[in-house]
Amino acid sequence: MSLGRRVVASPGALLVLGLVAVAIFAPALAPHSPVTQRLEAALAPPSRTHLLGGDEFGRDVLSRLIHGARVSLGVAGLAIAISLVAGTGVGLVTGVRRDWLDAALMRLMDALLTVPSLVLALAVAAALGPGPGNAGIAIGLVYIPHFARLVRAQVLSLAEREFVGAARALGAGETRILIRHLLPNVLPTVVVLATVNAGFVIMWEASLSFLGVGVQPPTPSWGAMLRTGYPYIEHAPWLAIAPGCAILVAVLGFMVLGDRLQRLLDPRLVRTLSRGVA
Amino acid sequence: MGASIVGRIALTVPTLLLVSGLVFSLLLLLPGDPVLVILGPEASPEERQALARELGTDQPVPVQYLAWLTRALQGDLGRSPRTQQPVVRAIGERLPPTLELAGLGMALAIAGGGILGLAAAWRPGSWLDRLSLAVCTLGVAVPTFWLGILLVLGLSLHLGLLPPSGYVPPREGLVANLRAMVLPATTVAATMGAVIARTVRASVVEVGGEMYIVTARAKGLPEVAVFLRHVLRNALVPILAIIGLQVGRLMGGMVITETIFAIPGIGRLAVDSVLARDFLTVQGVVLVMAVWVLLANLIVDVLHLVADPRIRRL
Repeated sequence: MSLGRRVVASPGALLVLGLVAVAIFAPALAPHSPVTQRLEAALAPPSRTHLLGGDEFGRDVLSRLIHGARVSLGVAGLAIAISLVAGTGVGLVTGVRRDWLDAALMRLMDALLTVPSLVLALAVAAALGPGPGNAGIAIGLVYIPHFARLVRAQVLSLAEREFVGAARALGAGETRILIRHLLPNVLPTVVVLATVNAGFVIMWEASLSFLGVGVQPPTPSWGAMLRTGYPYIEHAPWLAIAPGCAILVAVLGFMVLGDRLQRLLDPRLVRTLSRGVA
Repeated sequence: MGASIVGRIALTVPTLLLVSGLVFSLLLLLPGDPVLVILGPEASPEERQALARELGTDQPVPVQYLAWLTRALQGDLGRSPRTQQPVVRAIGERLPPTLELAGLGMALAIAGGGILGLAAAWRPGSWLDRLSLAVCTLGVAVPTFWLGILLVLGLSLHLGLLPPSGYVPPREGLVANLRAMVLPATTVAATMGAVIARTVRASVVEVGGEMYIVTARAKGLPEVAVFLRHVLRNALVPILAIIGLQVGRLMGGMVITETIFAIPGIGRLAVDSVLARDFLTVQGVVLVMAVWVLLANLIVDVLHLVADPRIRRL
């Protein structure tokens, strides 16, 4: 079986692909509008009309859940893109240069890791202002050191390998070695870390929205749904159970897919990665 | 060992300086004039001038940072425009509930994670090991705030066993205090306990396969003695490291847990200040939490030195 098929055949990939499909086809899949209020259905229990019930404004919970997947995956995509590009760049440069820039950037990464991540994301998101884009930027910033440290460690190990020495002997410059030889070799590791982290980023976006600094109402977001539904959980527990299940399934999907990719692409990194995300 | 400990403490200083720079730069992220953002549009020109003087916004950024750092080292983190209270006092008043919750959560995570990890390591590959893996995977993947809500829903609202929220100071009744802390501490401990359990399992299994353990058994040493004197001591270093790493996670969990359970700690203070755009208090809370994590890492480093003499030579 080819590598691609072995990846797609995993339960994690099926969950993630399902989630992506739900996000893409949300308008077609959602039975109702996610923002239209129907006060007669306020706090309505699950029924044939509203499979997961209605929220405090009578909006269909299932439809908001389906549209919420778009927000969660969108923020996760933005945060991962920021942390991946910046973190890989920092890791490559510091791994090759080993001078004052290396020392300065890596101490900065250490400092970023010292501030509790959620607190830092909360403070940055608050400073930038509410909204999914700013939540993505805040979370992306927090995850930069995870990529930077892993890529730097990889580059330090690869720099001693013969193919790098051979390229150097053939007259290749630092930039060419970095882009043509080192980058392709660190990419599998970066892809695995990005996949595992995507699940946690979804959880973080939900956390920020739950605390009130991420996605703002009436935009449907899983974390914001939990925030607004929490006061009603005694009489309408579905308001808390449904979005939480969605977050849990998304996180599990990315974790299992990341684990699968890890075993297929680079089994040696199992321990390094588990330390990185812990 | 004394020299090694002094060396570790010296390494903390530059990181602390960088962290302070990072915390200070939070104000630089604010769009527009920070004075206007902090005080809001209703503030009088006199109030704006006073805060601008205090923050030194008319000075170059490095000068502003040095002035802020000097004041911070003297215990002055500014005055909250929202409450008119010094930030240091606000943090000091909110610290006891946070410390109590952190202590209880950490103790629960170490006890629960330790027992689960040891049970899994006892027979690697057994049904107990697989069950432990499933529980730990769920523990890592479950969002803290959702777990807290589910615990409130099940144990408080449906079964009526424990109070759903609120904080009772220990001086007003230890039993009431502990009853109020059961659900928050469990919420905080869940993810940390899962990570600790997997580390304990991996570390004990790895050390258990070493030749010196086989030799100890071959010498006829009782299994309990082999475990306590050889396996546990050598497995302790990675376990301590992961517990140290969990302190940062603990702080993040605290922010959410204190919000759900209405505990008046510094996590709740952080959220309230963020929502009220009280950035001087946000700055103070972030700084205190970062120092807390640095101190925890330092303590773990020193414990490493005590537990593993080989590290002292590095």
